[in-house]
Amino acid sequence: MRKEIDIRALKRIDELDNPYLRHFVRRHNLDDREALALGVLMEQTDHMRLAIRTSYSMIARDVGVSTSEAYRLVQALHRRRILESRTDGELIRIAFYPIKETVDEIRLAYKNARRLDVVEGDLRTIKGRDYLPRADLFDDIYPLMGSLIARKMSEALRSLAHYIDKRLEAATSLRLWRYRVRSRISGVPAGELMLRDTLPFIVEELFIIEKKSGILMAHHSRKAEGEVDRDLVSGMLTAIRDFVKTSFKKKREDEVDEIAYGEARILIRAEPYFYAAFVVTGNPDIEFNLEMDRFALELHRANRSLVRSFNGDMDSLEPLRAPVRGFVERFSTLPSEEREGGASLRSLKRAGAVVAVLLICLLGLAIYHSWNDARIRKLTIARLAGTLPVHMYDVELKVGRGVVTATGMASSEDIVRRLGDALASTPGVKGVDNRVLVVDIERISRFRGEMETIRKRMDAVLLAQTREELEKIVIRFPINVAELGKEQDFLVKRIYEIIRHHPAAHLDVVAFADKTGSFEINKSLAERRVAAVRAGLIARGIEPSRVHPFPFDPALIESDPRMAAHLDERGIMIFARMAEEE
Amino acid sequence: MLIQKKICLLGDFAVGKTSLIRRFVYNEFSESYLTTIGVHITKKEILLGGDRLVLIIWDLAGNDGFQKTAASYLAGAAGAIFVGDLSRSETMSGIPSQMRMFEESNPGSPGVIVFNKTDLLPGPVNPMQTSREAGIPEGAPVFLTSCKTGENVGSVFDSLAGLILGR
Ligand SMILES: Nc1nc2c(ncn2[C@@H]2O[C@H](COP(=O)(O)OP(=O)(O)O)[C@@H](O)[C@H]2O)c(=O)[nH]1
Ligand SMILES: [Mg+2]
Repeated sequence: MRKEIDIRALKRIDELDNPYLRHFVRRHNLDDREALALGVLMEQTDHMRLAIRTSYSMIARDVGVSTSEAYRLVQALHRRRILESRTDGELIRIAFYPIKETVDEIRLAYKNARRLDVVEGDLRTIKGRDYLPRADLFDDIYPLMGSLIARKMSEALRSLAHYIDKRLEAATSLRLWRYRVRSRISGVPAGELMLRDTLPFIVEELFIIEKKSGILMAHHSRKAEGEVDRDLVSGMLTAIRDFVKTSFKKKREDEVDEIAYGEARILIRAEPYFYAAFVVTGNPDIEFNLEMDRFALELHRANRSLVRSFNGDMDSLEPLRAPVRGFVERFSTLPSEEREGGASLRSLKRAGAVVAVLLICLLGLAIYHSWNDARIRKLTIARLAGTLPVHMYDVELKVGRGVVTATGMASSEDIVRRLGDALASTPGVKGVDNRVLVVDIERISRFRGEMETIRKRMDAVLLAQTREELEKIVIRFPINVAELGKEQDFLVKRIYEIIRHHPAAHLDVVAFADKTGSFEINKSLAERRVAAVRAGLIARGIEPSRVHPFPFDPALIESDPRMAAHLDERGIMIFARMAEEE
Repeated sequence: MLIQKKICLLGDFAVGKTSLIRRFVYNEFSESYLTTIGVHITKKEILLGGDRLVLIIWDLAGNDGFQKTAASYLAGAAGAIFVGDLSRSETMSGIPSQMRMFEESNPGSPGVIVFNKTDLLPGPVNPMQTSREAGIPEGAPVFLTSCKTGENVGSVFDSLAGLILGR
């Protein structure tokens, strides 16, 4: 019987750390089934080291296809000279050809390692300074980590994201018809819409994880737990964190991390013996950062000896459970006034005509308030700008019924205080809720600046490498031919492979010609060749704006040492540069 | 009592670490080989003298780029299983250095030695002699296993569990 192809198996192969497989797939343009069959055979031959005896029906079983399809697949691999299959009595004998070339991926890995080498020193210097390693730090460093860890991370989180999505689906409520209509339109479950509307963010789950071992000490989830085992998620998070930490030799104990995935974020607060991972959807405000800090610190303070001496005995962790649940509930349920507000509005409706009058009054009041609030907001902003130097704070003001709420950052306690005073003394302000945090703004912007420098340097290194590789390639054309033949096409593909890892690079396509033939003919040929190569690159997916055809200019070619060696040939070379170097 | 412990499997590429876990946790075996990328974590509960012990099992990748960071993955482990492949003696001589690495990050934590793939050998093996030849220090329990037949796999984990809980 014919089985459907196992997509998961395929994905596994794709995620396998098997550069040879990926190399073959790319080089020979194998389709999914061929790739899967090749992957299976590679495994069975102990990574192409052994010859094996097998049968088409066995291969069919392992690959999950029919026997005749297995036959086709093996023949396809045989034809491409990846492996050799010979009948051997009832069975077939399969052996791989030895691989000669170094694989693209290996080169790439090497290249990445070199890139990291170059900047590692810088990273260390930065680390040595006393920057606030907030979420910003993680975001900035994240792109520098190899793609491997990124993949690993998303793999671990995908299952969690999936689980959360499923749970959101279940959260419908009959009462909320209004949300149900919107839900129909938007495809998001109704209960969720309401919750999301009402709360700017929701704490979905909270993990308390032993730092060293990754064992889950306490956990609470907004809704019933599903099929994904939280103990495993906890281990995975720890592994990811450790990887990041060791890769960048983070020394500080109080590091703060953030991992983004899909709609949710995992915010991490580390304490000496455990770390707390908050899974949050929506947009947590700055205030919430403080809440997390407070919660984690308090949990540590109150349970210090317990968590320090934790030896795997889960019963001993009982005291952690209530606070963990309490925190999640606090940030995932509607505040009670809002629920009551809804109810009282409904009873008003029942009261009939009186209500109409009242509502109009309320409306008038609301309009007055919002007009007044807008006025006050303008006044307070003007007052702040007039009293404090603008570079010392970055705040947002909200005004409700004359009360000003200030959130954001300022550079010192003193500024926070003066800010509060300035707000309070603005005419019309009835109260001030000063939630501005003290943050060393200068330090953060300095850090950002240095990260930017590093990024530029990495780009420069990569560009130099790209250049070096490109300059080894000359696309030669037969006399009087300007179309891409097989050989030219192969080289265009090589070039594509080189530059696709460097999306910022621009390419100059330069043609030269031998000295025979008139200038006019040479020029026309050269420019058509340039156009053909350019079109080939664009067809492979390079943005047209990055590929610049160069006008034919023998003088320029003669004066450029990189091309001087090819003076008597007909061909094309490609040079990479950054966009700014126009 | 419910107790949770982290344990690690160490050993060269393709010695059967992942197979050992699969046999133990799901009682399955597959001839096909999938490289473990980075870390793979599974969990299994065993009963030991009235207590429930949950093992959080960390399966580490072999000889790839993760080797460097492996040390940090070992942190906080209560025990380790060091695996060698009887059909490739070099995998067994790798064990002493893996034991040192583990001891360094978890001083005093117990470990057991596993020589895997007995089914591939034509005749009997003397585990103690093999162990000596590989330069493995004496003291840790040594097991001969086959993930293919399932031989002895359970005892490996039971023995480590006993050592971890000190019974
Ligand atoms: N014959 C035999 N093969 C085994 C045994 N254990 C593992 N293998 C095979 O050895 C290969 C590598 O096993 P795996 O568990 O993935 O190794 P790991 O790299 O250490 O995780 C796979 O092809 C397994 O099927 C065993 O006991 N006997
Ligand atoms: Mg493995």
